[in-house]
This record gives sequence, C-alpha cells and structure tokens, in this order.
Amino acid sequence: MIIKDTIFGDIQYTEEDLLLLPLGLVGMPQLTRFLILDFEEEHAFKALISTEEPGINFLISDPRNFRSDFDFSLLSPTREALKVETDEDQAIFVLCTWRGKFDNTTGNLLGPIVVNVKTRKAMQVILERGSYTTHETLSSMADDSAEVRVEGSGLKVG
Amino acid sequence: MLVLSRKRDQRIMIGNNVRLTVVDVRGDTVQLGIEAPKEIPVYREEIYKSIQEANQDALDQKMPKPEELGKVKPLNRKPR
Repeated sequence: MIIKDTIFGDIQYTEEDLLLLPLGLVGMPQLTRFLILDFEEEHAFKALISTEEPGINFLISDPRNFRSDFDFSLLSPTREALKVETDEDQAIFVLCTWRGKFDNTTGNLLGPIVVNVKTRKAMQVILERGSYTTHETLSSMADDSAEVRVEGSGLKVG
Repeated sequence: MLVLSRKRDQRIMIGNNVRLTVVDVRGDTVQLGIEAPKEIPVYREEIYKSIQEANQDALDQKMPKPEELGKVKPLNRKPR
C-alpha cells in the first residue's frame, strides 16, 4: 500500500507497519491507522502519519526525551487496557505542536499516547491526576540530565 | 437527548458494560460513579475538549520539514 505524505512523499507500507488506535485520537475517532516514521536515527522527534486521511501528520516525541522523571504511574490503567506486560513492551509519545522553531514547540503531556509495542495497539489517554498540561514547552521542560541539543540541519529523510 | 430522573443510589445502564450511579446530590453538584471497562475511557468533558483542541492545534500548526526541524538529540535515558 502507498500513502502520499506532505513531508515524506510516497510512503510504501504493509499492514504490519501500522500503529492501530482502535478508538482514534481524542476528538478524532476517524483516525485509527497510522505509520510512525523517523526523520533520522537518534532524533528526538518522529512523525505520526495517518494512512486514512492523506495530509494528516503529527510531530511526535517520547516525553522522556525531555523529562527523565515523566510520571509513569499515571499510566497503569491504560497499560492494563492495552495488555502491556513489561516496560519493554510499552512505548509512549506525545503529539507536539511545532511553532516555527524548537524553542517554542510544545507537547501535549496531558494526553500522551501509550503503545503496546507487541500488538501495535495504542490509545491516547488523559492524565487527569497529573500536573501536566496540553501545551508544555519542550525546551523548558528539559531537566538537568536532559541535555537536549539542537544542531544544524542537513537531514536525510529515510 | 434522553433525560432520565434518578434518585441517590439509583443507577443507569449504558449498554451492557457501563453503569452510572448517582452517588450523592448536594446543592447543584451531582456526584456520579462510573463503572466501565478499561477500554472505554471516561473523561470530564472540558478536559476531553482541551485534548481535542490540542490535537487539532498540533495538526493546524503543521509538521516542520526536516530542514526546519534540524537535529534535536534525545536525552540519554538512564536505565529505569
């Protein structure tokens, strides 16, 4: 199968490449089947691309790329719903809003997406009990151990 | 909209798996108990809407091209 993306061009994929969100994104139940693409290796951001609606893509990142103490305990009901058994089976990312440059870019830490890597099923959850918001500035979130480094461009898209 | 009247401790079934209980009523505040399978997320509407808006915002602001994004190195994660 092939999907045309605004950034990545034609992307060829198979059923096994899909990330499945049976409930869709919050407020967007029609978006259930996605691909995750790398900008390049060892990059804090990846791209989440809808296979159902051409042109729909999101910048995503694991919140732990910016905060080493991201509170996992809030996710346990979701882990159960997704049947995640071990930490290795779990991936987490948040949708990010690019605002012209990295320094202004925010991440929705109130509504992270939890993935069972084994089944490729995922769910966007709302961490009502946490202290995170929908627009956390990623650069200022970075804690002492984060050492987020922004370097010049010159990327190749794979 | 279906409107039902319930007293304290009375319940409403939504399908086979979701049960609402009126736990308490005090003044203009109703406390509801919600029993639903873990696969069915339950949110306060205003928080649901804030996530929906944030999702839409992420979409509207458009993903950067790789050359705009530049290189952002991830944190070296310590083993948990």
